[in-house]
Amino acid sequence: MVSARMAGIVAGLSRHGPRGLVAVAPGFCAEVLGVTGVAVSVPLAGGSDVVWRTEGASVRLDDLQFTLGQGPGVDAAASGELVLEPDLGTVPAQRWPVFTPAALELGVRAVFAVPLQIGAIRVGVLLAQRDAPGPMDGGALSDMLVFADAATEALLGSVAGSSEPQWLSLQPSGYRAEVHQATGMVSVQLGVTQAEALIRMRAHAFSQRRAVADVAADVVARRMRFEENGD
Amino acid sequence: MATERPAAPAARLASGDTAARIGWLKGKAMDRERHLAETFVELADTLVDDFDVIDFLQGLATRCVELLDVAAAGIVLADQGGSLRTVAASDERARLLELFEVQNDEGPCRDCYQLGAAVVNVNLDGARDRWPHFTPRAIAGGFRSANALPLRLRSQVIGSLNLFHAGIGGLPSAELRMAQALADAATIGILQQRTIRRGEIVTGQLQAALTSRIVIEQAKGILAERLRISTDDAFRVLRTAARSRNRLLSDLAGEVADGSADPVQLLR
Repeated sequence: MVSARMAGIVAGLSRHGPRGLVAVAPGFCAEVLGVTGVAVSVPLAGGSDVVWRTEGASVRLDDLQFTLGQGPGVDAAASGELVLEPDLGTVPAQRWPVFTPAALELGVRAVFAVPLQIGAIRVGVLLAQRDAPGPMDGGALSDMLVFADAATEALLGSVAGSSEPQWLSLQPSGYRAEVHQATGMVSVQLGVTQAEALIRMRAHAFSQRRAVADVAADVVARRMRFEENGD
Repeated sequence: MATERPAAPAARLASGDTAARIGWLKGKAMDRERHLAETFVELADTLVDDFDVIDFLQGLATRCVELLDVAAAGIVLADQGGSLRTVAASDERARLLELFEVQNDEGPCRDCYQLGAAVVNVNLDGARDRWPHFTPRAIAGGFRSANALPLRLRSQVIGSLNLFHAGIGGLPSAELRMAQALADAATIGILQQRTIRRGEIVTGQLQAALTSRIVIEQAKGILAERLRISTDDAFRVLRTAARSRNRLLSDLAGEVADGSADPVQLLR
């Protein structure tokens, strides 16, 4: 279950909308998770960009992975699964032949990577690192996953790539199957990625002061379509 | 594959032929015992290296309906924030899925998860005050009583197996034990997925199952729109295509969702 301190961070994220991540102090987040540093990176053509991080090793760690094309963040982004390495000192050499020694050189002993995703929509990776080996305890890992979900929502709001005001209420849409079905449907209707389809659906819901789930229900029931030229 | 009731003996039952009645009941019990044994063998067979957890759980929900003589079954899992999410159901009709979803707020699954104990044989007619949102929906869906069995992992409850009945009265205790055994099988399946190398395995497994389910919903949407079919039919198309190609449901759903599989090709 999520800790009170993480619940506070997540509430702050939701309040600030697409700029939410900037409003969260990375150092405080790292402290809550019991790690030395944290970073969120998003994919860019040919690599990734760190959009939020603690100073120090986390920045270097991302540079390394970007340069080498290997490491826990790269694996998490590719597989969509958690990559938890509580002791880099015991990771088989062939896993990340160049990354592991370089990370150890930086003083990093444990890495925990969580993909930022909603189903097939992958928006980035959250990477936590610690200067001492040891697993994340269950509570901290729960906190990290809850934070990852909130960061995903915030990033989706900020990558809209449109000039219109993109503050969309970050109402959790996660457990309604219709929202995910409608995302797929709208992506076909508009000929866009699912990420953009979800953003468009949320923007529409926001402008109409409706819940995303209600808009999604209309889409699935074919009471509503999104058209190429404005909805 | 619903348990068939032979017409002739059943007719004789009505006429009060005691010997026939005992014989029929024995036959039915043996059929079911065999069916149950087959189910567990089948479930164990499924748990090979590379199996699909959503497909497994869906098969298990279907088996619950056959074995326990219930009208519908579904499996919900709790995410890290404590929200209950539907991962599988005995059938994929939107109306039934919604009945599991609404239980994120209230209903037998929510109670089962919070209490960490089974919620058994609740007569829905008397549950309108207990679950004001869930109950009318369930009754409108044609259900009269409900059960929720915990998916247990040591002291932790990770989700719930939900059983709906069209009649009142619910399940006798032998059936409840069987239902709990099926719920335990679901837990084993979830923990058995290919993983995550080390660390917090259970958390990773739950996360993977929940993500798989979302990918399937997204793929259903893409198929529904491209093929002009309902999302209910889209699930059938996806599952049939996965089986005929000997592919994992989640893998194929992932390819539809990321655009690398052409929906039209799935119909061939």
